[in-house]
Amino acid sequence: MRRQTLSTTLLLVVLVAPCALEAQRSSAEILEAARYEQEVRGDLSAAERLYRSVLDAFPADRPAHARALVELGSVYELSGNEQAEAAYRRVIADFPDQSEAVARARSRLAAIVPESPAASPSGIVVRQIWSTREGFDVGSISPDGREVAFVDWTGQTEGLRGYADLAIYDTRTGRARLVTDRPPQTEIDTYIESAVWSSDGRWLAYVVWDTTWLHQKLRIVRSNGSEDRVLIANDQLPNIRPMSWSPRGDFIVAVASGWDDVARIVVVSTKDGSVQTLKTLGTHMPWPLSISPDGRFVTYDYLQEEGSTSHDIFILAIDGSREERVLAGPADDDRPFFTPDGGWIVFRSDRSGRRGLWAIPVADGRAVGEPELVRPDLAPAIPLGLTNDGTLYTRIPVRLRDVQTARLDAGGTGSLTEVQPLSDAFVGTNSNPSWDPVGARVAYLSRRGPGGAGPGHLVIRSMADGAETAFPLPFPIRDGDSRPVWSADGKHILIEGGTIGETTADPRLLISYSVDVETGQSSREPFARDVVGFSNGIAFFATPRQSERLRDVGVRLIGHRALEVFSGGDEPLRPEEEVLWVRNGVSRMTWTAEPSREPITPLGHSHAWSLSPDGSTIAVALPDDPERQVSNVLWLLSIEDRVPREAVRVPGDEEITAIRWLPGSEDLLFTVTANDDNTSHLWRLSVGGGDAESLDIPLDPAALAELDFHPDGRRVVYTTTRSWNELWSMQGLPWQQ
Amino acid sequence: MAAVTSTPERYTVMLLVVLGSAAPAGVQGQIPDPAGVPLGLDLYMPGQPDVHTGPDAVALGRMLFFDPILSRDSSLACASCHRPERAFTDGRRTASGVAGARGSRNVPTLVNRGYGHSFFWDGRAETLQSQVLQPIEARAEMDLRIGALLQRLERHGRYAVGFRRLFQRAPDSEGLAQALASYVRSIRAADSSFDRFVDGEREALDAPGRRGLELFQGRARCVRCHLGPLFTDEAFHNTGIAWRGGGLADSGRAAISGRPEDLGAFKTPTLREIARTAPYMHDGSVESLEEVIEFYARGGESNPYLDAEIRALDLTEQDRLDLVAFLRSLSGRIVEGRN
Repeated sequence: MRRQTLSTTLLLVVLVAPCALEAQRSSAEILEAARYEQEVRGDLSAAERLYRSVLDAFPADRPAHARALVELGSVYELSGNEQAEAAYRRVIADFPDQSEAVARARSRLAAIVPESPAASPSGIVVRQIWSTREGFDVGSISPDGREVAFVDWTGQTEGLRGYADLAIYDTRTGRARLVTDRPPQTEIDTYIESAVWSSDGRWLAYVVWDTTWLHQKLRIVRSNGSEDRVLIANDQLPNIRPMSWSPRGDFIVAVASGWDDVARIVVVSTKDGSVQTLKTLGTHMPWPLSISPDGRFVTYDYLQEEGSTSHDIFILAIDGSREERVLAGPADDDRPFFTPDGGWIVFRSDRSGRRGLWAIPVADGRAVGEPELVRPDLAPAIPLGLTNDGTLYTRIPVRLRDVQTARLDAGGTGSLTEVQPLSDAFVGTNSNPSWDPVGARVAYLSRRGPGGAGPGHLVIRSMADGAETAFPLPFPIRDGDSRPVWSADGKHILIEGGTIGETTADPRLLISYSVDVETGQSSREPFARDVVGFSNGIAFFATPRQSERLRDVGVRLIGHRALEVFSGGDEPLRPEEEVLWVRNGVSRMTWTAEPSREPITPLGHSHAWSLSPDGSTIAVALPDDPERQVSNVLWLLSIEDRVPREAVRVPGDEEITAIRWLPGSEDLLFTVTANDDNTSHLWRLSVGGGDAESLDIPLDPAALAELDFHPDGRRVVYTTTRSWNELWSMQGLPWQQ
Repeated sequence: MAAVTSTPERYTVMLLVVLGSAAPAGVQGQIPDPAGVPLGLDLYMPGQPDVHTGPDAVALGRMLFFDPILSRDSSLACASCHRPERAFTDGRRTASGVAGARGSRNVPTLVNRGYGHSFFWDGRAETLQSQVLQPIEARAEMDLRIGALLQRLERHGRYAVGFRRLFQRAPDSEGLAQALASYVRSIRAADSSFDRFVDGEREALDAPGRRGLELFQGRARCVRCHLGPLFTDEAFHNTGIAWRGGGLADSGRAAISGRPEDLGAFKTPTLREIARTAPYMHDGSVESLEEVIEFYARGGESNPYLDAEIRALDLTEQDRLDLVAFLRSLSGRIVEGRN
């Protein structure tokens, strides 16, 4: 009898204790515990119970409630429970103020709910028009849909040459031709940036950087290349982008940033280039702006509020007399275009849970009905514009990134062997690999979604058995500035990203997080890290070993744009600190109210620099002539004595485009890219002396920039990238019926 | 030289004429006509419902603005403190009310307020309509209850008729606010040397002015808060000007928002017509532009709530002269009384 009572008491304690403990814990603690059960231990029942306890115990805590519901949905998904859809829909319906949870719920809903056949409008025909490595990311479809205007960056299409000219591709003949006639990039490295067709299809407006790089010029040219002339060359409008040409051709609506870097919608007369500001916006430059067929209104998208990542849609009268917010949040509505009859605005929206094509009826500058779904699933296509017959043209950017593992022998003529993909999971979305300190695991980033543009995950892969653990990151990542760095004990990974809860990272904001490699828990770290390299758009942050060396020497090493972050970040620079600033050369900074810059190396345009793994030497590529902006000289700079020495000089028509040190800090690899044909070769340099040696290894600069060595100095991991653009047309749309 | 243009007689006549509906939105498809909007300002003015903002509302508002009937002892009109010849300020350190009452804050200019997003030094009004009635009832200003004012207006034939024609009802607070706000919206200032320079007229700014603009955008950091066509971010910043003897003489924005970080913060004022609106700061404690620049050059006044953007500046004597030259270039043309 006594034993039975004791057993009952123990059972009660066992059953009640967790509940009592949970009652004492915060919602955040319970959520993290639940996530641990779900993702680390794989105990879905325990995770479900904990998420439900949050719903019961914290009814007024809306962020926790919404997050618990989303997580509960994911548990249901994993366990095959049909309640997942209901959980996600409840988040979207009941918690519109919880943007992160709503975004995740929408994303999951789009993934699990098959497209309803009834929702697909019949008769819509989608065709691929062009697949190319040329870029055409601005609105550039001719009104008749026959031609595409773009910037000739690659010269890879027959008829082009890669001088950053304005070019046209004929979709019927498949031929390309130049509109402008610019000198080679080696002579003038400015470039054309965007173009828009006139309503009659005879003219193009485009912008080109001034050779001072201080401002852009707006020019117009006939599509046959004649009558090319400057419309605006005003240095008080540093950036200007033409958006839409009026029906009569007498003015262009453009977005310009003014003397104060604030964006403005401006109206530019094509007769005399005079400019009128229609409306001052904020820091964001919208794209596109579409003029109504009667020329009286312009529609555009803008942030729901400054700092937001979602957009609303507006109609603004061209005479400035009024403006209507046609569509207001919480959905993200963007990319609006007037239909040819002016009766609709076509736009992209995630209001149904997935990013689809929508239209709203309009008249006299106002909405006259409710939004209607045109096509449920548009992603990853980006609307470019409508032609005169109402055909919608879209661009699909494709960028497939995969992590490769290989054996790299940098001795002799070199070899790269045993190349194979690191992982066969989520092919095309993986990048930024990094070995742990003992070479047992590789951490890499995975953007799991269409086109490799989905939410970021940190993946830890065991190299012994290939087992992988993927942690969804609660903050947005970028390809650059997000390279994982292992802590010295291999327990944490430092990674840079945007604000938790946002879907895209603010490029002006850099936040450092520490991620626990066992639990995936992220915590914000004080941002006091040195930037120790930059290559091909990737910024590298100090390893623990490099940081220790820099502290011993007594300098802070800052590069790229991180100076602004340090000037006001979590651990601002102190006036007494010596700073080496690496941006287009190395300078010594004095951090006072008015920072001064004392050059240590020559200054000039630079693609690449890197600190050796032991933190002793900076390698930086710089031009021999600052005016040419082709970095063809490799300098080595000792951190100890700050004395630079020239190590390598390549011919002036070649450029040093990426630098990577070998683990011992005694040798480095660099790529040399020929400017005429854009081919790259890998070279090795011993910092102890001797000439650089060419290696017979095919590796492009982007791959070298992300290459990471195993501690044995042989095995490597790196990222390969394949990217192209596709042009698609969509016909049979409701306004074409 | 700056000028103020108005035609009150025309509006008095217009007020008594029943006008049609709002003018159509431009000639179809043609480049907009900026007539009435001085160079440098947006064609689009936000934030107002499209009713009762036509010329007749502006004319009624203008009559009210210049009429001392709006104060308790009929001694002060809005225009007594917001004097057109001083860019709608009064030149005094702090506001002066009926019977010698003194306010604690400087009279802010009314130019370009139609483009604004918040009103008063502490932003306590979110719309012009809610702003324009507050000085009428304020004890240190006009000290007249709105109810009493409406009775006065009803007894004055031109107002009784004007309100009925415009609003189809007797004078009431809503119509009063609408009319006054419509007039204030009509007060625009721009077309300055700076605006002509930005428009591409290279000689419009002399060398000191151009150097001053460069400093304004760059080393002097002014543009961090004074930006856009109005030269204000419409936000609130603690520069330390309210810090006196180890404490805050005025809690500023915090009194409205309740947020500690807003203690001693005041709205960034416009710099349009700045040369004509001395003395400066929310309490009028700084007499000249030279002293304003000196204040910011030394990093404002240190206090626990000092805005992060305020830092000591290394400005030479020439830099200071150039900045003043640039600020003087922001005086231009004021138009008022037009829709």
